[in-house]
Amino acid sequence: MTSRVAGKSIIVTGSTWGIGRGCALALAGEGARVVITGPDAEDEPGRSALAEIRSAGGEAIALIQDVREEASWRHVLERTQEAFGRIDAVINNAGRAILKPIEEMTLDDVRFELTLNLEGCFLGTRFALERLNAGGVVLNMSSVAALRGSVGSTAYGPSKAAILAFTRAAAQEAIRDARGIRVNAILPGLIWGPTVVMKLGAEKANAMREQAIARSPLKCVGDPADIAHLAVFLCSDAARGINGATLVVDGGATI
Amino acid sequence: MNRVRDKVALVTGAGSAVGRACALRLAAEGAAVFATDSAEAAARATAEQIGKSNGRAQHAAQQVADATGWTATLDAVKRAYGRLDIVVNAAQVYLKKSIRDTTLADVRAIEDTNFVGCWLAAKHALPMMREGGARGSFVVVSSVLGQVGLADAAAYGAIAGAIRIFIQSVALECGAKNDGIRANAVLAGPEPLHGLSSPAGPLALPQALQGSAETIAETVVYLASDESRFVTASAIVIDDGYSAA
Repeated sequence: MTSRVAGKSIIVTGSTWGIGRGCALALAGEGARVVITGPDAEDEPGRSALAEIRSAGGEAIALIQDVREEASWRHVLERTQEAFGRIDAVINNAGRAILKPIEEMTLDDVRFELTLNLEGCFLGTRFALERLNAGGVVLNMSSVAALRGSVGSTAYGPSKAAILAFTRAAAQEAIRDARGIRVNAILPGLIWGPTVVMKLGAEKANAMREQAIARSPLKCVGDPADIAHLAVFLCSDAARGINGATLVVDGGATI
Repeated sequence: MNRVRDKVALVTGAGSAVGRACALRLAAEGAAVFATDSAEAAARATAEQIGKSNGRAQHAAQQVADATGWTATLDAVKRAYGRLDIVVNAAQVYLKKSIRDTTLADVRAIEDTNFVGCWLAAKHALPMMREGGARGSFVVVSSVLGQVGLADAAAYGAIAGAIRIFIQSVALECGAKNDGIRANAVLAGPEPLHGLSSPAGPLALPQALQGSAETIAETVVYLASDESRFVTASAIVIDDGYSAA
């Protein structure tokens, strides 16, 4: 275990599976005290993430959270404060992709995307700016869907693009507050894992995989660890000066 | 501290504050460093500093816009370490002048060091990186002024913009060769790139553009290491929110 984020208390939303789980594991491996959150944080996915961190000698707790609800955020922040005595970073990772052609999309689908992906991020950032220790970090998970259109992405893409504009504005407010808090966004390309197949179905997932590989100069898809490495760097003090930045991790697929 | 262990890194402009910080951090993370600078004494000082910390480093004088010089530099890298995995293009000059006061010779000087130097690096160093067969990383340290305009920085900013596109082309050409080499840019403000040594003197820029050579070096280590194996054709901006405003 190394210690690039040693002692920092970091909340990672939506971290029972996929990218969020990868970030939680990597941050704990670098010495952070991690809060795993998700609607299923007390079920098998949360318990196994917790067990994996603890068996590697890391420190973590798991809390049920609905990032769309202010009360749920307050609960998570209070429990984090109780457990670790401080909060140094919030990674707003919770999100979902509803990918259907517009004729199949309902207004409810659109509202769901905006509520979960954007409003969840808004609440996490607002509470973070209010409560983070000086020098803290907010990291928002956007997507390359914010940069390029694709069939089925009429709500998901816009919700992720809004996160970019939001991140730039939040960074300016953090500068105004002069507490050294940094707000950045990561734009992952296709990050492969069993959960992608589970969420999208094998056929759609494999088609996306082939397209992503064809478009990437590196001819590959990503792994949660690829996002986690960058998250560790951005949460560490080594990234001081990186603020309002939007970082693409996509194997070059969106040039 | 072994994030780039067993890799060989060539750092140009390694006598400048930013280039030196990059060379020191790469060496501290386990790379063997070949440090070049137009001023040999400055390159030597960097290599000696690495040596004192028990790192591995050699140095040479190099004019990055000179094609013959690139052949000589790469021969020297090969003799010293037998391979090349990482190139960090940190040789840069800054010019603070209005368009009216800028001469064609000024523009050519920026083009030569800031762009032609990188172009020659790609032309000559990429084949050697391919020979090694390992995951290579080509990094250019450039400026956020290639993304947002600033008065009295037209020539410098225009060339920084050129670098941003250049790096995408390098990434695509490496992709077409399926050589696993990644190409990325680090975009900082001109202050950390040139600091007080800027011939134009201290720059009247917003506080936000300051950043630090250390953060640039940390970002270069990330891009040089396999941690960023899924990152290519990308740019990481280090400007404390300046270009986001």
